[in-house]
Amino acid sequence: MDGNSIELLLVSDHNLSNFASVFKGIAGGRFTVMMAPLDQVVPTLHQAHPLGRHAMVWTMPERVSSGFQQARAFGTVEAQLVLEEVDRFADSIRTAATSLHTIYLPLWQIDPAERYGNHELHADHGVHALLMRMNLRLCERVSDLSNVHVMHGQRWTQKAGPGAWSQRLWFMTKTPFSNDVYQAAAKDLLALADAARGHRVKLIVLDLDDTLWGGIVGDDGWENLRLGGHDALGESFVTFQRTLRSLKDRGILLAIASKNDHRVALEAINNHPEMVLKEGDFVAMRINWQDKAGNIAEMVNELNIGLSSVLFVDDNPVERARVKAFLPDVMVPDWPANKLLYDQFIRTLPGLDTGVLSAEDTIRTRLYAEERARERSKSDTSDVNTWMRSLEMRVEAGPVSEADHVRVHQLFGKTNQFNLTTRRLSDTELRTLRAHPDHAVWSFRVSDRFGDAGLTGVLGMDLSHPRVAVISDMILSCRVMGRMVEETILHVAHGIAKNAGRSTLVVNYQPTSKNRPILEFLERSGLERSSEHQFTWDVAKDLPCPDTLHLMIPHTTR
Amino acid sequence: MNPSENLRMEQLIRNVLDGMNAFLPAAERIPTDPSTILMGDGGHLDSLGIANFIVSLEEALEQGSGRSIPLSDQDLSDIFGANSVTIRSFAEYLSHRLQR
Repeated sequence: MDGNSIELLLVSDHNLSNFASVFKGIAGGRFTVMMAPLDQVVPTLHQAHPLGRHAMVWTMPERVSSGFQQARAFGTVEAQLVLEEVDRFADSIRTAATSLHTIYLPLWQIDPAERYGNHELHADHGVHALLMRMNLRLCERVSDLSNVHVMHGQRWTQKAGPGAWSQRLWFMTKTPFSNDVYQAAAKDLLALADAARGHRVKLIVLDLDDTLWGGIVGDDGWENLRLGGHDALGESFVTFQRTLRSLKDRGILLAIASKNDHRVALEAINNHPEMVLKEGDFVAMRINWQDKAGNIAEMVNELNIGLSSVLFVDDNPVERARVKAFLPDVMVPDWPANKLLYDQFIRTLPGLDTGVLSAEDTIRTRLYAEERARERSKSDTSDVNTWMRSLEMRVEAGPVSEADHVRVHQLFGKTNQFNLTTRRLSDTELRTLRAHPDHAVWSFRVSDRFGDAGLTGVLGMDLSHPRVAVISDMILSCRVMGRMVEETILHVAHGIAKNAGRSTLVVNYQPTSKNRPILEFLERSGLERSSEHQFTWDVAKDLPCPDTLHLMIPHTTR
Repeated sequence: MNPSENLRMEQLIRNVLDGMNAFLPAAERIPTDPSTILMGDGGHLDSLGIANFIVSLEEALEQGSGRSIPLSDQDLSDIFGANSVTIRSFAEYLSHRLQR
């Protein structure tokens, strides 16, 4: 975490005080929880909110739609009128989404035990069917808003069991649910908020024997592993591997840490006909007899990923305990003893939500493979500058276009190490910044002879001061760190300041627990340090572009 | 007055409070020694806390005795007057209700 508490406003038409207590208990000081006035949902949604505020808007379906209330009382209701009420509510959510950082919106539900006769699921007038249509309509009306997360509240009541709905609490305090429901909701909310702030699993490190397949490959031979076929256990491992592959396709990297003979294990991966995951699906492998914690630390270092973004999956509790003890930041869930439950279990883990997918997410494993090829070529070249030139790097810089918006928003949300302030702009805040006449937001695309790393850098500049140009944002994906793209961004910033007629370039660094790499870069960049967290440069002096790469800036923006 | 029944009710109340405390931030947890004032002057429960407590207690009594003993249908101030209600005094009241 970067230490700043998030403001969370609870907006509701019923009593959420119990939820607030439960959430505070789970979230600790990471959130400052505030309650909007009870039953003032629409006015609250239409008011202006301070920058960075999150809100959970939890409503009851019968409070949003009088038509639905009528339907529950066995009245005759036009479904279309109910859906129009949903549309009006969705319009209020859309308004709120322009000023709130993120909105969390639990789906509506009523106690499924409530019976409404044989036609309760009739498409036109069944009460339960109508509720499904309301929920679907709400999802459809907000699905284009990247800062609105509809939450699957049914999961919480299902998990809480028969005591989920409390009529006693409802009549006494207007609290509909038990604390078990609120606990499940609070955990989901926390996971979503963390994902929205970039705290999510980026790498899954997997064991092999009895984790990706059934059996010990060194003892049993790859031909005798339990994987696929007419075998419940074999089928469960194939299903688990399919889920892992789909996570990989959503941008989560996979790696192997296994105590095995490297050749024997690879033979199984490459030859077993039922293996879903292939050698190329893994960005790193440590298949040896060394300590797994050390192996994981090595791979994480190699991939330039923070330990807190790593999930370790191993059936062996001793290995899990070892990794937990030596790498406490790594997420090490207690894996189910029953192997048939692996797939179900991983699907319930928080931190695997990837949010909106960008083009880079779907090819991330390939990008890392290219990086490995790059590193191998480095070891063939003694001089770093010669190596850099041999990469034939091209950096394309220009103002952020609409097509780049999603990826730039993602970089704001996910990047921790090379991030000047780690401010997590919402989609709307980024759009506002891009449209602001006194601000410049540029993107940087990096490619070389090994491949295209894609949009990996962002520069934000505040030009509102007549003499000073302030670099408000400087973000670089760890994939291209250390290849002089950092210096190139500074060079471009200098050019923008010069073109705008500013005399001083200022960089204000905001420290977090993770962004020391950008401070270290600023310290060696040649900029003058004017205070502990501020660096400046006289624009009259040149700030050259590295000669190891080719910078391209469209003529219209020069 | 049945001392062993009183003690059993004290334990039941402590279990209910432990259940409530499990969901609360550390600073908001309610102590569970018999002299803890639950309601009234210096009471640890606010109006929502009292409702949560009563509902949880009703459920625990139902599970424990198989009987429905509604507590929410009475105004507790009618029973205890202006006196502060401690875990011990509430246990005595429950014990008395169960014997009715």
